[in-house]
Amino acid sequence: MSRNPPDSDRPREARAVPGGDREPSEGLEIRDLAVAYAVGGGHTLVVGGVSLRARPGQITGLAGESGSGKTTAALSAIAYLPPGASRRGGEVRLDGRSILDLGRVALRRLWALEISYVAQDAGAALNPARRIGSQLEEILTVNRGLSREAARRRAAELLEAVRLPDAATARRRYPHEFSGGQLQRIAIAMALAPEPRVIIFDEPTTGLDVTTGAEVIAMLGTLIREREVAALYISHDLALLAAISDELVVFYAGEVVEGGPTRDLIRAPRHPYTRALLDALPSVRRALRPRGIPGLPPGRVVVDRCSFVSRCSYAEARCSGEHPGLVPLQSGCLVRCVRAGELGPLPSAAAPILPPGRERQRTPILEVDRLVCEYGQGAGRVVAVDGVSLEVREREVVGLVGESGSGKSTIGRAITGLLAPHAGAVRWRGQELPASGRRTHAQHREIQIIFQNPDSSLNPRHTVGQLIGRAVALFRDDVAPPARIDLIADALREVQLDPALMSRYPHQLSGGQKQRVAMARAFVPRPRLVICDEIISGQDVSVQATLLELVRTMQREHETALLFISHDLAAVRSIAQYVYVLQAGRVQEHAAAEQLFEAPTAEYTRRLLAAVLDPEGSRERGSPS
Amino acid sequence: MPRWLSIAVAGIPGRVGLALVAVALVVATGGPVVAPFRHTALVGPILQGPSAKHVLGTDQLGRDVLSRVLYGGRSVLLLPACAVVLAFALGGVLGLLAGYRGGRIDQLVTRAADILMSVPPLLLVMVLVIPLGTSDVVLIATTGIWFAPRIVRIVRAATASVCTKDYVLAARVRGESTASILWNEVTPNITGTLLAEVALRLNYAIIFITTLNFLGVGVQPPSSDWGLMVSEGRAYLGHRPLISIIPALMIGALAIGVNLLSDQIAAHLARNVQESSRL
Repeated sequence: MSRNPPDSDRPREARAVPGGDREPSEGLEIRDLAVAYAVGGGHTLVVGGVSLRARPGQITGLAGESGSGKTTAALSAIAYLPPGASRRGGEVRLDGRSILDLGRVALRRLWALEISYVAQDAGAALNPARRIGSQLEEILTVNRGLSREAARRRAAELLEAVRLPDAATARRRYPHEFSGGQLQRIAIAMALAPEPRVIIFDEPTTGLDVTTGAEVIAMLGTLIREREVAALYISHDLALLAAISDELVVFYAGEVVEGGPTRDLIRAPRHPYTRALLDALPSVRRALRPRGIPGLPPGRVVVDRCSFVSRCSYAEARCSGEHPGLVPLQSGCLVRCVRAGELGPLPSAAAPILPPGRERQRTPILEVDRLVCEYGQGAGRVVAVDGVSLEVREREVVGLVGESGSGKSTIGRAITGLLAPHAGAVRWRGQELPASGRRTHAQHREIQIIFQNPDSSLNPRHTVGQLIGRAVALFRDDVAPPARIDLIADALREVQLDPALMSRYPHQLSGGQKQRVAMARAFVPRPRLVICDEIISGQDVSVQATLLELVRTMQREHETALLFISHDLAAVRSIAQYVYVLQAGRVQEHAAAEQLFEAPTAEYTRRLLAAVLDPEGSRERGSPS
Repeated sequence: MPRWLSIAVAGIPGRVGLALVAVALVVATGGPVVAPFRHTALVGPILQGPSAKHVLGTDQLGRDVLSRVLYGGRSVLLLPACAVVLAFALGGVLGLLAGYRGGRIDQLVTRAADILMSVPPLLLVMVLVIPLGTSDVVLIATTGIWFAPRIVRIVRAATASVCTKDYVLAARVRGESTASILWNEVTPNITGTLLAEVALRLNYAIIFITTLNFLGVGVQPPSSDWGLMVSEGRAYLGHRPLISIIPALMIGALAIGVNLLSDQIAAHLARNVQESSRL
């Protein structure tokens, strides 16, 4: 990825806006911060003893899975407590001044001038009814007291600085006229507008495509260093934080379990959780089998034992007896593990995989032949899929990779018959497939689909037993009705769920559990092809790895073919034998996985691969790709 | 305790609403059994004040007001209930189909609903009452037809939003029939909306039908009906206010009670939506 030199002609006096000269910033210092949520009559501690520092011109990464308390900690540190939360101790200093005890008015002033926040969904943070210019200039006139003319000039400068294409005309446009990546650039410009000392980034690139995200991150890193802002960057994505942050803090169960310079922490993690998180990441650079972390995080601060003990592969008896403190190591890292000293840097436990080559002698069961799918009519017509041909053979795992809008999900829908193709054909065992309503019972049974979001694909009013039971009743007439309950139980056991969950409703399950139920429902009819449409995105890293492992095992045991649709190249590398790369509705390249990832031939594939961040390889990213 | 009951008594408005509705229900159903006289019997001098024999006095024809109140609740409860059932049978089915199928069927149903909605309700009443005369069936049909397009709209919108969910797509991929998808996948997810709407419509129907009775195009004398009683007694409001005030209070209790109950359900649903979106 390219980095432009910092624009040196940016007027320095921009810093000396009304508000006076500032002394050099010391950044944000958090000490022993503890936050609790009111639950029933009592309190649950969700953040405990968090200490960290954000230095000017540096990015401090806050890593952790959902529910680890990283966002709560960051927001509480700027006295912006979520509803129901209360501070149970600790101190935060901004440039040496304690900020947590400020009054309402002083706090608002602080938030307006010194601290900015960039949310995950920039589109939702912008007012859709107002032009970009007026929203951006409002910050400058209201917070910074600039004149309208000065605000306009400054806003243009900011939009230029975040490298918004067509920055000159952007101020006249509305939010819906921009893409997701451009909106995120505008949100960053707004965050920079009051010349804050601290910016908190809360997963700002999570919703973006790989290549867009990579560009935004590169731009952001440059701006923060150049403008000497202290940045806290919250993310669940260790690969991303490894690439962008200077210091890294790993959260687990509301506490910091490991912290230190990013490079040391990624190269030689000392806490078993950090190691496990790294091992859960698939890689595009090497054929590795990601390892999931068994079990669930406690979701609150655990005080009487190590919070990770139940999921730790290094645990021993004393880990259950005491709660470890944060111990400094010679390297400058801090680790919360009683065995840190004796264990030393933890080696990777991820095993290499050598996916078997595509077995050409097998007959294709699914053939997609020059498929064309269109949405809309007349001038609003969009060609989502433009002449795509692909094949899936028996017992083969085929990856279908592409960024959003590439048409990959549309292909999945055309195969399942939810969408009538405009031209071309979908053939199943040599026979053309009609729309979903007109298929034979056998065709319905043989082709199953797992959707991305189990919150949407599982009917919230049905129990787990009913959800799987419906598929059993429809497709397993070989099993007598009294034995069907055992079949449902077996299906649950197969996806490593307790059959006792049968009477639960989806909302009573965790995200990973819900996706397993969806998986059980797809595999119970004994299909020949399962379409996995982004089935791991939206899940935590450790859950992603477990789901990948599970779907691979299920595929092998059921001897099913898989069409694995994903935007995540690393995940595809870890599972697929053959890969199709899709861009704007066309296949750019297809080859056996090994060949495609090691020696891509299409320019687009190379660009995609270069944009993927990889924790182990990230420090070399300065070299031209 | 059944689920609907625990939802209803969860807040003070719900409890008050439930109590008011219960009073109206008890009076309407048990009233005729305990009434001291028949509601049409002429039992004494006209327009008398309260006495030991006639607790609420007598009306302009010398009938016992208490007995007429006790008899007069049945039509107020029964007719709106039937009208609401009819409206939901018509509007619910069409709304489900329009929301699920979309396209031509959707256009046809919503346009028809729009046309019906543009007709003022009293005009609709006149059109039906003039050729058919007044009867319970006509009252129910008028109210049902007046409400149906409104229910079509609500059910259609709720269905359309549910149909974007992947579980409906998943059911189509399984090859389920339209009826099975509507019944198993869609209906359970819109019952919340439907329940709140039922309560609201019941309330409107009570007011609408009592209004028709008051205007004289509904239930006819000498039957006793709270709406009719208010209408007949209003001439004597200064002299014998109880004749019209007591039935008016009963209508009020029922309407306010149903309203409070529907508010409680709506609040519960709003909370549920918040909770599920937080998950």
